[in-house]
Amino acid sequence: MAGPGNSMRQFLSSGLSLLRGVTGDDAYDKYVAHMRANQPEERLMSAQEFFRAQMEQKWSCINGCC
Amino acid sequence: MYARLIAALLAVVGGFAVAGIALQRDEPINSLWIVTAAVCVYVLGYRFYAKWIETRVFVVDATRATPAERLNNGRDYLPTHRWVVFGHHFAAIAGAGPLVGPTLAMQFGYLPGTLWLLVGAVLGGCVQDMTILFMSTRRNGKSLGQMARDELGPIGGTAAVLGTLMIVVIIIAVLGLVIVNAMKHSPWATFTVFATIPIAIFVGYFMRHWRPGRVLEGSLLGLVLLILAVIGGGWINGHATLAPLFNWEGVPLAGFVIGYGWIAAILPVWLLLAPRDYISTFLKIAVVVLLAVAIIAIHPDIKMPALTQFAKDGTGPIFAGKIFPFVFITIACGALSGFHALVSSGTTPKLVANEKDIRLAGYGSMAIESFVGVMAVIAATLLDPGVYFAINTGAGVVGAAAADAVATISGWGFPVTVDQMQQLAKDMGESTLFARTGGAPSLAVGMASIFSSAFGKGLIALWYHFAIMFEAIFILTTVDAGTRVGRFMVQDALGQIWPSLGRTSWYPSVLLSSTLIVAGWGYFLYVGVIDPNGGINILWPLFGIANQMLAAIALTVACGILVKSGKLRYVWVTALPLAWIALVTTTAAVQKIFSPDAKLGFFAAANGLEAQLTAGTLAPERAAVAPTLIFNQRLDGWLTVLFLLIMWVVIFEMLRISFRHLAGKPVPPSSEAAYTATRLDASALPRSH
Repeated sequence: MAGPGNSMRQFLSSGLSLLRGVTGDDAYDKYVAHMRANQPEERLMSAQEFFRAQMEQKWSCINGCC
Repeated sequence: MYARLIAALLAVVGGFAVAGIALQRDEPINSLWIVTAAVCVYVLGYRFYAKWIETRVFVVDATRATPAERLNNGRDYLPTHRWVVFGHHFAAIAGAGPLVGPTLAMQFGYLPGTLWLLVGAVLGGCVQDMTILFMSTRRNGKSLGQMARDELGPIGGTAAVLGTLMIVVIIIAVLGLVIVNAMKHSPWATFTVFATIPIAIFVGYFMRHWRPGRVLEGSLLGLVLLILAVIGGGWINGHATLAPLFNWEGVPLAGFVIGYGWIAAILPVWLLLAPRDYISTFLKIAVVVLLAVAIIAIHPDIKMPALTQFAKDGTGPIFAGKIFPFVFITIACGALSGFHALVSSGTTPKLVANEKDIRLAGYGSMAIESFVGVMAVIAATLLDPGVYFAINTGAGVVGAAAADAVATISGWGFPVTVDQMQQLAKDMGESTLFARTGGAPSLAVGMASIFSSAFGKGLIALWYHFAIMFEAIFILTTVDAGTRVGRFMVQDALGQIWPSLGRTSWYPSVLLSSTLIVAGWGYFLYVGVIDPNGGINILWPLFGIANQMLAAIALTVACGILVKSGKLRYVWVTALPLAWIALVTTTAAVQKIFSPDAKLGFFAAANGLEAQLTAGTLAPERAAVAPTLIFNQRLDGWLTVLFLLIMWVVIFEMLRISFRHLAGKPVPPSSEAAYTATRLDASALPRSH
């Protein structure tokens, strides 16, 4: 059904998914999808393990803003 | 066809808007002119210049697999939707710089700063960010320092790394000073800024133990708590016994920022640094969108003249020096920032799914960053010029007594009264707004008037402290992330001398290197705080020179790579901005080193103060700090010499390598990764899962 309510919902949901992507909210989902598709035999990290590893990695190199 | 018509229309509208800004002199112009001109300039730059660079200079190849695809590990190398890369890159480059620089540069009037924000971004900053992003993407996401070493040899590489370390120290010090000046004698602001620390720790705990990886939930929770902290600060401010607990002089507040930076650098990242960064990203995007909507909705008149007398005579009270070169040095990040080259060669190139997406992330994000600078211009210039100068000028320039300050400032032709300033301070919930240097308070006053006009009057004091909190979140993120980055660089250097010091997780090495970095910026911060002229007048130009030096290094690396890859006839794309910024940086540095004017030259200031000290003509409280100030001015002078040397060493190395290459002599080989065909449909990538 194409109505104004529907396109509004679409707009909001694409805005939300953009926000999830930019803030890194979906990083674990992306990782799981990647591992399932490419290395299904390897052990998956849990959300907590993944999040810890991500953080260690992100903050062990130069990334700055001014 | 339609696209061309729209572009032609944009060109006409943009042309009118720019002409309108440039020619309107006698009556105040409306900020909508500036917004219109900015948007047209960015769209035209993006649509034509960036497109031309993409197809002719880079010759981007949509069939070529990017490192995100080839090295995809589901974590840092990850093909990502182009709009997500854009948002991520923007959040990583945006900080307090484009807010503070343009605010300070308004002492010359609104015109020079605005024009440089537009021209500098479209022809300089956006090009730099996009070029470095492209080159790093072609080199598996290598950093600027690595690219400099690979392509220009060890001398150029070492100079680039040294330059980066210096700029990290200076930027933390100057931003620390901005936030100390915003908290000085303001219980409301101090409470709010203090409260951000337990809030970040709480959110860190929440994201680690309760809802692992739920970044959006954690950020939203943090945002709600921060707003409560702003409201709570208002309550504290009105409380007779609690308010004095948060009412501090500059020196203890500087001690607090220094202690905070040291602790944040040695604590585990999940506890403080990472959650603060998540909240900051979220807040950044939200406030930029909100501010843009509010400015367009209320489109205030610009009260600052197009040009002030300080543009020509160089006696500006906020910082000394004439419009050339100092408007370019001061604006820094909003038009061209060396810092962005670090991000463009950091996380972003590992996310780019297709080379076709580089224009949006590299050029597009910088255009938005420049627009943030334009919004800071509007927030600063909608104030009465007298009010703007009263907030931003140090007590050492206009006198500590309110009556002296208003008399001096009114004498410059910018009328302001003590009553007006007192009423404004009362409205904002502050005890005074005189001599609140650093740009943050005046920006917050401007933002508060925009927000309160757009979203409801009566809450202006809340909006003011919301704006201060917003800047503090950025700045403390830079303080702790920058200290950590600096720590890694020091550990890397120390590891060359004594290998075990190079182990990033060995605790004695962590303590030693963190202490060294914190001592470095802490020193500059402390001297800035005790300086009766406010400190910003010394530190911001030093930061600007360092930042533009880093931009020159990035553009130099880009020029070298273009020449070596056989694109000599297009090298002007990066060589022109390089020539300009090298000229600007060199002129500014030479003036800062050699000027006999004590307001402008570092050594002249040191010698002048020394003469006064020996002659005994200084007031006792000034004589007490004079030896420190004298030493500091000389140190700043030598640092400027070093910046200049580093920049020219890298430029000469690039020229040497380029001429050798053109003469057919051997040069370091290109470090570009070999071509692999893509198997990825980038347009089909989801925005998220």
